Amino acid sequence: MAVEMQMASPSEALATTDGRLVDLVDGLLDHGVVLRGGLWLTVADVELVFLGLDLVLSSPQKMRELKT
Amino acid sequence: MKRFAIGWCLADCPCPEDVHKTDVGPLAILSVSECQASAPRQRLHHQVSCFDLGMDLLPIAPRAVLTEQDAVEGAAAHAPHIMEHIERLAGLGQLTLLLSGPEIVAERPARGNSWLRRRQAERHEAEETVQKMQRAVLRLISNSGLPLRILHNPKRGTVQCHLLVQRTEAARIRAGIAAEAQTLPAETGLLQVTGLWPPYAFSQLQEPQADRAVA
Repeated sequence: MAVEMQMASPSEALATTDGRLVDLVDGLLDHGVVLRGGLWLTVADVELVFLGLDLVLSSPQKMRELKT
Repeated sequence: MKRFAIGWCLADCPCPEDVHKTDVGPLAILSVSECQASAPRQRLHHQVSCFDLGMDLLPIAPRAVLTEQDAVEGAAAHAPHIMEHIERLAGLGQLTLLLSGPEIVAERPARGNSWLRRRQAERHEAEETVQKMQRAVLRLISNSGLPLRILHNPKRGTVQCHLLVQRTEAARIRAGIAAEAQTLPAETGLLQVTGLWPPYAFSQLQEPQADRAVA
């Protein structure tokens, strides 16, 4: 006996209640373009911390608006 | 009306009626009204609709919230990179393979040292199973020579593999995977093949050099 196999189109995957496919689609939500940056925090020429940043191209005001 | 950006494409692309297109030089920003795209899954749905129309779309991660104006500013700042990526991904899409291992039957709970030993053994077994599954997935696609990204999750007992394929070749590659899957033993688990998706796993702009802040 061979491995069980299923095929699904994106619309089928989006509409499914199969937990595995739901997880798969949820995983895709994090993929795609995220503009990234980084920042070294330095005190007296000593590098202390590197911050990896997902660069959100939005003002704090806009972010507050989106949350409400 | 507030709109959320879902991606970039070339300015001359036609797009679905419910998607708004704003041209910025040679690029266009695709966006959808807030009421139709407030949830990440809704944004993904619109990206898929655009992709299904044949658009070469550089998708923004659906979970990232960017307004149309943010994307216009992003296009201004990263135009060469965005253009380069759209051209690189033209005519390509993503097939996603998910291999889920057989369900592990939970044993009766034990106590103390035996519980710790059992947990350790289970973790070890899960790691080994996923490694085996990863080898099985690689076997499925070993002759394709396609760009791929593999993610494994021992905790859930799954291996996920994203393949970058030509749209026109997708059906043939799917059929090839199905034929190859016949050679995998049943105990490997369940193989689910989905797509064709926009090329999410291959749409990442290069990281700019780290900035420095000096106190």
